[in-house]
Amino acid sequence: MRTSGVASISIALASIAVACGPSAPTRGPTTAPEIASAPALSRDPASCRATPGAGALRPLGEPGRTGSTVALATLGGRTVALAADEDGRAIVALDVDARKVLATTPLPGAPSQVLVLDDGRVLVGLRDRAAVASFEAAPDGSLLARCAIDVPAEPLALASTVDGRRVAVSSGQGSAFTVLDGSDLQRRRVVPLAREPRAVLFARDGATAFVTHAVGGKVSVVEVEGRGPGGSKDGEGAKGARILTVLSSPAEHQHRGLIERVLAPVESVPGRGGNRLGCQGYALASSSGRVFAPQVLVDPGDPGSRAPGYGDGQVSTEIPNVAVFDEASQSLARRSLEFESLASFRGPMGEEREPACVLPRAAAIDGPSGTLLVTCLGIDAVVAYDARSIAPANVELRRFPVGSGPTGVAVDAAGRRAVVFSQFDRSIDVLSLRDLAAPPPPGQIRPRRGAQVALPPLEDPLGFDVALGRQIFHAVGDGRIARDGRACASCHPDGRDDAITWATPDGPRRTIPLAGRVVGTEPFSWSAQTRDLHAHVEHTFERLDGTGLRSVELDALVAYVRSLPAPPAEARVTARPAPEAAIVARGRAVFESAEAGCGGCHRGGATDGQQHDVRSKAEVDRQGAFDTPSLRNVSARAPYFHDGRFGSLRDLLAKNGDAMGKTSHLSPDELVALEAFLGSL
Amino acid sequence: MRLHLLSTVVALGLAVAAPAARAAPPAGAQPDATAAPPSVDVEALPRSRVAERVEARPTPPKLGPGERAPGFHLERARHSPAGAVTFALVGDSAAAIERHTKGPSDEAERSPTCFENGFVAAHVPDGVQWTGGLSPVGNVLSDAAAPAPSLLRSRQLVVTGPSRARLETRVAWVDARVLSARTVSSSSVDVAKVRTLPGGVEVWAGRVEDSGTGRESLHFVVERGEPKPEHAFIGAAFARHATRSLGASGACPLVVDLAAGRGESDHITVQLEVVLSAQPVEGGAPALGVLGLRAQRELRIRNLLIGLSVSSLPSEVRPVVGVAHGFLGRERVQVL
Repeated sequence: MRTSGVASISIALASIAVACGPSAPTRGPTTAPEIASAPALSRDPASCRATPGAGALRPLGEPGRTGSTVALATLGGRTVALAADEDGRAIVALDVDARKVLATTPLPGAPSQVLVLDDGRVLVGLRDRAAVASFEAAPDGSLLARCAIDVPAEPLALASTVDGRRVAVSSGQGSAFTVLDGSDLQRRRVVPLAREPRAVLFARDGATAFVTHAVGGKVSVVEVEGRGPGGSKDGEGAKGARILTVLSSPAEHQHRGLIERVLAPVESVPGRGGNRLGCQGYALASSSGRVFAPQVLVDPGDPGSRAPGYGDGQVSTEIPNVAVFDEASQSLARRSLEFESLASFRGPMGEEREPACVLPRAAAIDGPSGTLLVTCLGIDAVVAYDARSIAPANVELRRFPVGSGPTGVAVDAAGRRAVVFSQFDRSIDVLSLRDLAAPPPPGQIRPRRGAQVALPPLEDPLGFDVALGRQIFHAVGDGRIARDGRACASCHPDGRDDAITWATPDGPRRTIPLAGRVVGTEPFSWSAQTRDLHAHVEHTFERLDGTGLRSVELDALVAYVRSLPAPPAEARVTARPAPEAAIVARGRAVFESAEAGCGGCHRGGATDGQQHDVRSKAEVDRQGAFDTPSLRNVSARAPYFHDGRFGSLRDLLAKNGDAMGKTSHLSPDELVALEAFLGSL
Repeated sequence: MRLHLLSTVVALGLAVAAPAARAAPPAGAQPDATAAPPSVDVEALPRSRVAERVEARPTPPKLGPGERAPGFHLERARHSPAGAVTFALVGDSAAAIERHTKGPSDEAERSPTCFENGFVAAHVPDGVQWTGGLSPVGNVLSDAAAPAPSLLRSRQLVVTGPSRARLETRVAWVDARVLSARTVSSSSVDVAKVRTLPGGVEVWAGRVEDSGTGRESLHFVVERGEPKPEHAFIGAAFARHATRSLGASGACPLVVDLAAGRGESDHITVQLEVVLSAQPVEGGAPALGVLGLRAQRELRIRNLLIGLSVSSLPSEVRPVVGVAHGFLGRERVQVL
């Protein structure tokens, strides 16, 4: 192990594993050839402080950074890229100029992002370990373990303030924002957020932070120094956090007319009846007081009508967008949501646009050119937009081809280059930003590829079928999957769900999550059409007007979908007070009671594989009976019912009219207990 | 009624040298000055003060046979039937109409005067609804059953220096029956060249304050630059805005105004084909067509997208101007 020279290593890898309980990593630990095992990490606060004089690593770029799957720093006069290799469960250090891998540091978990602090400490989010690990760099580029800090489940993104006093962590499954002290990395505050938070960015004054959400079209604004942990039952409007609605939340937006309760006014945006929804909020970047949030504007069709597929097929289902915020006033520029009808932008020969950036995953600003760089899964490219525009996504300045699965980007403004890490083929691209304004050379139709470095091969790589399936799952513009170019990941970001209710031939259908929810949940779909996953996937392609995959590719896609792990849920730290075991037990008793009748269909929280009519048939539904969904991870995947009519579990339990089990007789305490039990599934 | 052109121009320095508001490069960065597209400093753009509202009402019932307006020359269309409906072509001169009726030629004219139809409309703030389509020759008609003059607007970019120009706008009533015109208003906006894009396309911009309302806007003019014979083989330019569409055929410029007041934001996307290169075809080119003509030139043509944006967020003291370009679809090659 490369852990020599590190003081205060008191708790070893095993302690993290114990602390994190049974949460399974996405795959077995793998290491690069030269590394034997992962380093040990202490939870002693003293170990988290920067070691005076130690660590020659210094971050590149302006203070006040956002984490990414790749970070740039200088080390002994060299420019070094640190890549968070999730497949390899390691941080790989690359000499950017020499295009040479310097060192690979194995980790006790799957890294989500890496962030280099001004004092040289390297923070790494361990997404399946509910922890952030701190390292210091050795002269050879390897990382020396310092400490680990517990955070809510699934830490996915990191950021630091300009003055370095605070570090922020967003936790996807934990739906939380954690503030750490910049000096000893101890937790200062944990704020509950809406579901699926992703990218984090501090305002320049450090007083507030912005957090995107993968679903729901929202950006949360968090008061960094607010008092107390905050806490509300669903994170909406929790203390210290407020929601900047990029677009109306699906539950509020879509079901006017379908449900009786009074809904918040729908904020209309140009497009199909103001019915587009924000999704895929994975990235944030800022420049000169403007905050940019790449996302996708989705038109799921009118859920009050039947549609030929998923959505009505008459409009572009997914349109790339970059929402622009004013950092100081924390207000959204509504104009940034406007888009021109690009479908009509065709030349006389009928030229169409290339597949669009509908799976944005990371963003960075090139300050000198005023350019926003966005990495895009599915098209394996970095798209450059004008950061001076109020509607940046309307014109692509340039598209850089990169490796498969670009998940992170970092800019070396002084060196006029950007470094991109692509997870699927584990490669690092170095892009020149010198000719952003130049026209393409004569005869050049597509941009030329920059320099690329492949990371060292893994001893235990992903299986061929799963690796291929992952690429297919994220493929954008593949007419075999969807005529309009949608990817599987468009509706199932991270293999989960988009929280959107789509118009379908059968009526309104809320997207079903896949991760950890496929094996053992047959039959598939709300209508329980088949028990064969291959057939179900092919049926989905038909609805998307795709021509279908070859069998080897279909096998690979199915293998990947089956392999998707459930979101890691175990954590020592939670944003909301964990219910007492006795309350959960009481809830279980209610759940299993004959009077409530929940356990009759949701056996053990799973599914009975049957269809039931729970009087939820909407006007345009073809049928009234629906497949019993598994309740695994149910508390983190609102909205509920086949048409997403209930925005929260409490609503579902209180307002379903005893059509699904019987809950109207339950006391408030019993409802709380039942909700707590459901939250434990 | 006549529009009084109120004042004028504050001539300033180059519009493209200074950085945009709050767009300073990061500390420590050593940018290569030649690498990045320059930002547009809104404070450095020329400023004009004009009355943008066209006081066109009441619509005159008819024009006298002898009425003339500078820049509006009418000729009866050759195909105009002798009947109830009379058609007329409008150019800034007889020669302009002659050039137009002859069709595409190698004698292309830079920045011709172009025309756009308008309609008096009570529901629009300015009182006149413009079609948004600029063409080198205007078309008007008069119906004997309801004879009334038509409203036309002409636009011309008059280049006054290497990076300076003036956008001249005239509005007139024209009558196809008597081939007469009566001036309604005229105005002039100074603009500076802010970008030269692939294919020689030039983007000009100037600040405008409405003398009537105080409303501030930025006027953009997108034109194809120096005329080239191959421009005859590319399509029209058009632009899409959230609330309107614009077009320009031939060598006409595309004229766009975007709101630029404090706290206002606006944007538009322009699409036009550009000729990236026109190379002579070497000997041995294949014979084309039934006449066996041999190709002489090979054009590389591509669709150019231009994003124009003016935005001022609540905490910003100056508008930020964005002029960005990219390409749409693949390049095509046309052999002539």
